[in-house]
Amino acid sequence: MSRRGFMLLEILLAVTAAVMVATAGYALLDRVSGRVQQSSERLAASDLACSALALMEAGLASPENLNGSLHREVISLEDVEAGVMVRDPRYRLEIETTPSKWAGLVQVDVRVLPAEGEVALYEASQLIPSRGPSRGGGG
Amino acid sequence: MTRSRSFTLIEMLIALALIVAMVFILMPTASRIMSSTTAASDHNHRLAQIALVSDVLDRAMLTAVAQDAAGRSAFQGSETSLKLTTCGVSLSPREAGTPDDLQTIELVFSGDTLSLRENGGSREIILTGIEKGTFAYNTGEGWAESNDGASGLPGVVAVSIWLRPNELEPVADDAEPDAFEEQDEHEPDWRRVFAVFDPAGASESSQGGGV
Repeated sequence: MSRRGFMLLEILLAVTAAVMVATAGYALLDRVSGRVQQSSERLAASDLACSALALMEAGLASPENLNGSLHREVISLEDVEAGVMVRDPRYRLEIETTPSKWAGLVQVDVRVLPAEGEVALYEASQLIPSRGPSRGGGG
Repeated sequence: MTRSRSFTLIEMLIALALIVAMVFILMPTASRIMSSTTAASDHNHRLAQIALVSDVLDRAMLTAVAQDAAGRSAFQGSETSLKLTTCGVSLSPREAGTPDDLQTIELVFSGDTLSLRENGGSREIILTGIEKGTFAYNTGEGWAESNDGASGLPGVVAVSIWLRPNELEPVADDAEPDAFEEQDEHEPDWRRVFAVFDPAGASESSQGGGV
């Protein structure tokens, strides 16, 4: 029995299998990298939101100071020394304040967005004193 | 009876060459997948450790008190360590004579670790792989590297952590450094500002002051 001509099919099958394995590998690699990147961004965004709320709660920065880009050349951040702890050129903050039903407290909503994007990475809300504490400085 | 033909030398050599070529093509991909998976696992482990640090500090700052049972300053902060007293019920064993509702928490950056010590007990390492870690304190008069709590609790405490570079994580060759990044020391891998809840400060704030 002659097996002449069968080798080409074997090679094609082997090459196809190799290509499929490589493609699956790259897809898995992309997915793992994407997840790692996503979790890092979310952690950074939540830390920024919580830090901004902490600075406002302590009366060291006002919503107006922190609203906008967190790039260090932004003037509003340079006006507040406390702001150096939340500067990050990769993100910007959108901060809204609304009156609350509790006297002396105002609701602050913080959204963290990528510097150039429109999809919020993290959102946090908190009631903070509407007037800074007497120990608080530079606003 | 048909006589089956065996493989010729040239067929064997070509098949062998193809197998070797395929191994060489797939090896880098397999290696990258393995290292990437390991790096992702390591990264997730670090994120979990950082989340624990964040949680410990968050709870401690919310329940911190300015003075201990003896009326001494209950807050001692330096650039690399932070010791504070918190109020609340603890399940951990404590020394005889210690008030049940006061407990001490001590966080220390030492070497490449961050350790936690509760109520004078043994130190527990809660974060590893640190290149540098610092605490900073702000009482409303700028950031300081230390705070002895003599004038009450600071308004906020900032924690910055620089992690040791992960050798497994790929470094982008085309990543352009930030124009401002070149001027200053590099930003920390993790930083968070914690508000210290001070009941005395809160009562004062309702009486006046402004941002």
